[in-house]
Amino acid sequence: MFELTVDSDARVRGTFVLAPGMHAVVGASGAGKTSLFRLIAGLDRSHNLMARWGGQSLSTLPPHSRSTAFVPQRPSLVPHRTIAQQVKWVAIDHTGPWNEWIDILDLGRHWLRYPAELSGGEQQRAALLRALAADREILLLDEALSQIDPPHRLIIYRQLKTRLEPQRLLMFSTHHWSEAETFAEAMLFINDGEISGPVNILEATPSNSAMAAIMGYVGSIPTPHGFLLIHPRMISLEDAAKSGFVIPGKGRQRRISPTTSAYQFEPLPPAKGRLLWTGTPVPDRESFDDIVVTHPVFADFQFEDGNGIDSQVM
Amino acid sequence: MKRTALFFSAFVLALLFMPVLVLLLHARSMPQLLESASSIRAIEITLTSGLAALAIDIFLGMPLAWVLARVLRPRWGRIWVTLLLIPLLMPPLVLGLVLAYVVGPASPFGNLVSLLNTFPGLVLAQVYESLPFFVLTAWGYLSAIPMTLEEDVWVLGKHPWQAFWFVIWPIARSGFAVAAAMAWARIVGAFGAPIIVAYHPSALPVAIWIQLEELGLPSALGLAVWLVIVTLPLPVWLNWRFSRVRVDR
Repeated sequence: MFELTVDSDARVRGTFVLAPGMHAVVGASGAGKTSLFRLIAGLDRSHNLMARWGGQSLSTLPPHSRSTAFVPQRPSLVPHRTIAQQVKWVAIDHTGPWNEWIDILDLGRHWLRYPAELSGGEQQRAALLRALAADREILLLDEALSQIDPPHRLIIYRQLKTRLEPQRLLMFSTHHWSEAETFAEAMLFINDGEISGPVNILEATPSNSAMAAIMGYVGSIPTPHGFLLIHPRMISLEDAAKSGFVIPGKGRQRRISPTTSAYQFEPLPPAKGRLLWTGTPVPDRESFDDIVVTHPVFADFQFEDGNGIDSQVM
Repeated sequence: MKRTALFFSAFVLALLFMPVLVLLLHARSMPQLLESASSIRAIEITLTSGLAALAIDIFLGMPLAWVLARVLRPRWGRIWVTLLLIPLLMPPLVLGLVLAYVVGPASPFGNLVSLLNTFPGLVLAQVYESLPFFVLTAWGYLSAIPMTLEEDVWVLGKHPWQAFWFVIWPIARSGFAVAAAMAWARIVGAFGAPIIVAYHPSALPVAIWIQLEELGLPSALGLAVWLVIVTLPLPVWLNWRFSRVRVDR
């Protein structure tokens, strides 16, 4: 178990307990994800920090004595050492299965190069390899794969998940909700330094507007049960979708690519505003009268999306 | 623009090399000087005392520069710079007078072992003239090395000492090399303090002064050329050996 409590005077506040496994730290840029990781890794100190791993306190240990390996988002390789030199240097005393990662991360041909000779994504892969070679029980990835192209990033996440030993903890931060929901078991959410969670990804519903925005919700409609949160994947235009919450109004669809349509929907009064989203094209539905929200999620806060598609798309 | 800059640089270089040229033109006494035992002795003393002083500078200055650049809070940096500037600004002659008082028979310490006109006294005077230059130069280099270079390997389980040798030392040593070259230039040229503390054994600057007083300018200039010749190899080697290391990433 990993337990952490931190309050006031630190840049992040909150308390949580995480079981071993692969977990996501989700939040907008500047919300405090990096601050949280630096506290756990021991790079930033706070008198109000209590961190324990497996019953042992980490709070007072220097960074090198903690059971953590931390990979930041920015370049972190040693500039004047080749990839081989620094990975082997970090791996001394560790005979873990990190060798297999050289192929998984496709670093064989860069093995004898210096970091400056590598692209941003290649440097991030090398930094990940170096952290795996360190063989620590807790691995902290702070948007550490952000410069890797999406197909490779998904492969790496998948490998990290399947190869994670059951007693280990992997925390990765991201502002891509799809990565969190695909690869994490639980999620911590950080908004303006406030840590909430963890919540099981299967049951993750927004508890505030910031969380709803990151999770891809596009708006809310007031109902007698509270505010109905609307997610594009939960909207159906098909008549067949009988089960769900029907919202009357006027909508239009416009194809923007062979695989995607932009939608616009204005609910009838008393509901106000306009919902904008993109989704799978539905044939013969250039305009439609109502939408069905198939798996309604209700919240006690109103959510107006600031990040929806621009109305000019229509 | 580029032409102006080149012309300007050439002008400054010419200005810098003018004394060397004049020196070489008037250095006909050079070969004879090698037949004089006192000249040979002065060269020997310059090299031996200089190396001893440089070793002390490095021994004392490296840890101090490290602490100033990496351990103390950056906010206090300015206060420390100011404090270090005071010994730097002390006129060497005044430094020599103070040292002569401290290590001479007039003080309780000097009463026990007077260092006046001894080899250790000469080394002490050279150290006092050069140490601030070593520390300030090394400090400037060290503080330009980003803290994150170390942090990024601490968090992979590397002890700060391991991080220092693998990550920082290859970059820092070029800074220490430049600092050592600066200190060396200051040491072998030290005149103000040594002439008070250690007129004997005379290192080259004091020997040049004596030569000037006793035999006139041409002879003194010849000895000055020897000063340049015997002291040049060390800073040249330091620069060649340590000047380039890759720090971009």
